[in-house]
Amino acid sequence: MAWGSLGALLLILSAAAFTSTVTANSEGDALYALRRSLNDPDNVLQSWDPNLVNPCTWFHITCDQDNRVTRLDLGNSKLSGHLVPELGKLERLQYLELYKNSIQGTIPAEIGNLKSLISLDLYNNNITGNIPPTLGNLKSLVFLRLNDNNLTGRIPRELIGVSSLKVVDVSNNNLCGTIPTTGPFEHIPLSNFENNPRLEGPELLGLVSYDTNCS
Amino acid sequence: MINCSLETILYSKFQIKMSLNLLFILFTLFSSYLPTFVAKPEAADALLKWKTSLTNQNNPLLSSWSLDPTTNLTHVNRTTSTAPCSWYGVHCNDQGDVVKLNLSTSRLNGTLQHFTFSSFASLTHLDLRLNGVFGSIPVEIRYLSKLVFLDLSSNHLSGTIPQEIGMLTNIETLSLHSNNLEGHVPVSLGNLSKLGYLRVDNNNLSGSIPPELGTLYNLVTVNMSVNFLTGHIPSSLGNLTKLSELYLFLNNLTGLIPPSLGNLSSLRILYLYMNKLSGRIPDELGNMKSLNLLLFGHNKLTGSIPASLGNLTKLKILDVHENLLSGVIPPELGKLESLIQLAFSHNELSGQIPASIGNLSRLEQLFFNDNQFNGSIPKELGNLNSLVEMLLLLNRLSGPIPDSLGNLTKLEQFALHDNKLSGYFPEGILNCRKLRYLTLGNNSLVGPVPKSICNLRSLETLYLGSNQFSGGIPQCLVNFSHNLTVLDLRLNRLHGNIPTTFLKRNNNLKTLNLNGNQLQGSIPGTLIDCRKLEVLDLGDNKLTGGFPHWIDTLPEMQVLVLRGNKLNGTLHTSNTETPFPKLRILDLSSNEFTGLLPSKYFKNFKALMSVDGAASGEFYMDGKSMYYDTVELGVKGLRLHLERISVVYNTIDLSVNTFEGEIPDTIGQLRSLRFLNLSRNSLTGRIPTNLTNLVRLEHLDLSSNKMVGKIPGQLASLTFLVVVNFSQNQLQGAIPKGGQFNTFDSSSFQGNNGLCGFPLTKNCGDDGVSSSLMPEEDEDEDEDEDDTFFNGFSWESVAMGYGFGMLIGLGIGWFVFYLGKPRWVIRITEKQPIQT
Repeated sequence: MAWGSLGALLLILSAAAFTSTVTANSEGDALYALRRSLNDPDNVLQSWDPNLVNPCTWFHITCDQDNRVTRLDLGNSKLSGHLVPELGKLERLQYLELYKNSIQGTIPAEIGNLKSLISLDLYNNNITGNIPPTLGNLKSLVFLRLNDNNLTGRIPRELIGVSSLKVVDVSNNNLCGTIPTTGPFEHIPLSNFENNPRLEGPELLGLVSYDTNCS
Repeated sequence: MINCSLETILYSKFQIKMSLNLLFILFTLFSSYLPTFVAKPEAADALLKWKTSLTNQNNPLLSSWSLDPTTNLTHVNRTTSTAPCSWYGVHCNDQGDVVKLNLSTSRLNGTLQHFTFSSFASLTHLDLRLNGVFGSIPVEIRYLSKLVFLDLSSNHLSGTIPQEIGMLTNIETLSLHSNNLEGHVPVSLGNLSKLGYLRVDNNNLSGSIPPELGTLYNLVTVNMSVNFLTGHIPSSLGNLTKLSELYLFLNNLTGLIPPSLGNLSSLRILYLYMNKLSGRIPDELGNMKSLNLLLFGHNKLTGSIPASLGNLTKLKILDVHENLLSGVIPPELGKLESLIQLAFSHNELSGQIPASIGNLSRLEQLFFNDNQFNGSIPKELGNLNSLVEMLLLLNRLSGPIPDSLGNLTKLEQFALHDNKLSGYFPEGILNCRKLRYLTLGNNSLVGPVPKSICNLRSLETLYLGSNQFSGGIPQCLVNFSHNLTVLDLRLNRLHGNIPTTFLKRNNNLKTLNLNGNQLQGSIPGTLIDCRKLEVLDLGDNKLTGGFPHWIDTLPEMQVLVLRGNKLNGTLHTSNTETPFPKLRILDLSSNEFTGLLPSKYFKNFKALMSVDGAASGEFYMDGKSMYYDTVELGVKGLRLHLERISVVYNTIDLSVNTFEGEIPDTIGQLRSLRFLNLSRNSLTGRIPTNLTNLVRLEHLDLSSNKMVGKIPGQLASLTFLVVVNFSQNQLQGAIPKGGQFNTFDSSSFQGNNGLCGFPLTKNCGDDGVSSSLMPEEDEDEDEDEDDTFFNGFSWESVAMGYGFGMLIGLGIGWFVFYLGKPRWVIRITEKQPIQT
């Protein structure tokens, strides 16, 4: 018995002996947490190997010169499952592209920690819950496309302070309250709010409380 | 166990005798019993009833199980009254009671549900191991109150272990291993006070180990490994003073290793590896004077290695690899004179390697890799003259490599890469003539690569890369060993020519990596003799001459990197019909190549044409004698170092040359290409629309050429496209909209006077829209309705059809997420019957 399993163990050892150590790789760990939380029928995440020094050689991940993650591109990849709060650790993430999947659950509030985020594309998924008010912290955000999900609650007023916003699309959800009209929302066409049965028209400043129809 | 194997031997002899029909011998053999045989129809009926319930009741081994006299006449028993005592596998006592049923390895398929346990009240031995018995263990097993020996191992039993097994109070051997049993280990086992041998390993048991086992003072062997057990190891196990073997590996056990285990003075084997045990290794374990094998690998143990372990003078294996152990190696371990294997790899151990380790004269394997050991390698390690493998890689060892290591004449594997070693190549180790694997890479070694390396004729892997070796490459390095599969001299200061005298026969070279040196001259034509070559990396040297077109006939070539040299001329191909059938990575960038792009290659890169994006088998290229190929590539705007090369890292980089003419349409066939860089050439013509076929493409760089026409709108359907660069061309018209094109910034498009639309500030006028964008969209509608969808989402445009429903989400099959988490992989390989 002893020597039989010893043989197996030696195999493990020799295999283990030459894989490099996982050095401080918190971004890789965060992404690996996402991988574990997603179902991936097409195996598009196969290359996400947590044993590598950093995630920069993983497919669908892009890094900058300092090997920090700047892009996560997994649109249209048949992914289901949930987003994870660990995503908030990707400090230099600029593009979070997870559109046209079957992702469920809520948008983690920690997404609001992504100070460098330019584009948050979660459109065409099955995401539920509120739009986290923490998105108001994303001072670099230009594109916020959350349309075609099952989002509820109101459009957080914190977004009005994101002056960089150029595109907001929350159509085809189940949002409520009123449509903001100030700040970056001044130039967003009304069609980008369509098909939210409980969302009232543009708020008339000083006249309508913006959480009308929200309970 | 020994008894029962003897029994098996006796039985097989018995069968041979039967088959020879040597009746008279058998008669003599049994004559002493025969007079006392009394018919026990109940037991016979019960066995027959069970036999008919088996799915293979015609099993020839059970042909004697019959009351039909004609059948029995051909067998030993002479009258039916001896049934079942004369039947195969059935033993009776003088009173004719069935006392033993030995039906191991009898091809039985069926359940125990029709086995009438109550008919076997006298049974002491029941051995059904190595059959195809399935279903659960019936609670009626409690009727076997005289049972001493129960072995149901290596079947397909499922369900739980019945509590009632705790009523078999005479039992000494209980073996249920290698089944599919689930549920908890019954607490009632604590009633089996005579139990000496307990095996429930290789099942799906969960829950914790009952502390009651600690009252079974007769236990000699406990094996509960390869299950899903949780909770702590009960400290009561420390009471089992007769315990000799304790196997709990591959479970989910947590908590501390109980110090009470130190009381187990008879314990020889302690396997706790692959659990989640934490805390320190108790000092008390140094009292286990009989211990031979201590395996604690793959846990979460912390603290330092107790010096008391130095008292375990019978220890043959001390394996604590893959834990979080810190501190220094206690010099006392030098007293472990019986030690054969010492495995400390993958911990956080630091300090110097103690000289006393050199006293371990029987040591064959020394695994200290992946720690933080510093200081120099003690010269005393040269006394380890039994040593076969020495792994010191990935530490902080410094100073020269001691010549004394040349005394290690049995050494086959010597891995020192990724340290801070300095000095010259250690010529002392050239006495280790059995060396198969020598890795000194990524250190600070200087001076020449000595010719005398060529005396190591068993060498398979020679990795000297990432040092400061200078001088030329000895000619003999490419022909001294038929076994050589890896020659890696990359990133040194070597100059002169590439050796030309490659072995003509039995050339096993798979990897030749000379990247990042100062090599001159042309690429030797004799490389054609390396028929097994998979990786050829000659990048970043000063090589001259033309493209070695004959290389395209090497059938195994997967990675060809010639970047950063001064190679020139056109990429003419050889006459072979199937050039580069397995090539996945081609990097010819930064040379002086001219002429047309190699459309014949694009037509024939078979490996780049398969549509499946995921690797079906191994994700990385095969390890070769424990060496992993690496390569550095320019992808997505970075120089990326691939620590291991994925078999689907499909890349073509022909950038920074002077290629001219159009991009051949054949490029559209390379459907699994991930990275395509044709930038900084003199390419003309339009961007082929069939680039849309490259559905895995992440990086497309066509910048700084002379390309004209539009950017094909269909490229917006490539959802994995992440970095595009069309800048500095003469492109015109509207930039495609939607999908990933939503996310590209203006730097991807600048320097094309005719381009308009997002993200450029130049808007497409009415003309631009009608003349260039609109026709494109018409095409799209035929091919891919999603494009229309995306186009609706550019930040400038407003109109979009909201009839788009939740197309996704329906019809997506649930996929059981199976990650390559090492533990699980290992669990599978480990989960085999353990031989005693």
